[in-house]
Amino acid sequence: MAIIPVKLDKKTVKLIDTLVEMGVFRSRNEAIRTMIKNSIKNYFDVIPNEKVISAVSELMNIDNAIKITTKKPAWKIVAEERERL
Amino acid sequence: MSMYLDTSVLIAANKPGDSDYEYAKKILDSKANKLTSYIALTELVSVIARLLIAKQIEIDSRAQRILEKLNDEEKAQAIALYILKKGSVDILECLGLVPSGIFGVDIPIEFQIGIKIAPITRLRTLDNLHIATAMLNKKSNEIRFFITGDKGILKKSRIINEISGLVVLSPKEATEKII
Repeated sequence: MAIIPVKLDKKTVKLIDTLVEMGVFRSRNEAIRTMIKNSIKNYFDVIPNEKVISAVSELMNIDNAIKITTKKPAWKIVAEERERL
Repeated sequence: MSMYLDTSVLIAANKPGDSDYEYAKKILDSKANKLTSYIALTELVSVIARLLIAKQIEIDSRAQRILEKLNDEEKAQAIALYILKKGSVDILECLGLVPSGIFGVDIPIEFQIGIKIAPITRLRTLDNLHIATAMLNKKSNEIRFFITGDKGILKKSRIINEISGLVVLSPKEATEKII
């Protein structure tokens, strides 16, 4: 595990200590680690972004908005993608 | 009763002139319950990004105006989501992490099953991950069919059926038998 020094304001430290005293976490260390681990996921949840979502809902009004024009068969395009792995 | 769509079906339905185009389009336009996975979504975005760079995607002028507000990465995501939404294809989520049994690392359960079936199917890693996802969601989502245009997977349809109970069909067979 890596050690990362972080500065926290007194109010946040007090809230963390309260949770430790209440027995929610065994230590400050465990509390901070769990909170970071649980909230980090939220930052990835924003993908795809609002711009993409709004573009997709506009695209939904169009039939055949895109057409793939490569001569390769569809299954071959995907097979090549899988072979790149 | 649901069907799992491999990425090749999603691509074929948007590629006029492809030997699977008509059948794949018929499947996507049907009212059948269609599912795919987060793996297919990743693959679809990746394929579209490559096709966009190679200028092998023709975009309708109205769609072009909508997409010009986005950067290249966002464009690929938007097109992939459009393909899925337009075809009413739902995306199956990762079911969670499980111990891999090797090196003490946790891995997505789809990968765990992928590892198990790999020596039996002898298919590519991503082929196995698609099959594993369909297998894991078979009961909860009533998945009975695995639809793919991939010749390699179709050749192994009997083995896949034996290990998973899934019926592997080409887009053409799917339209003839179940649509």
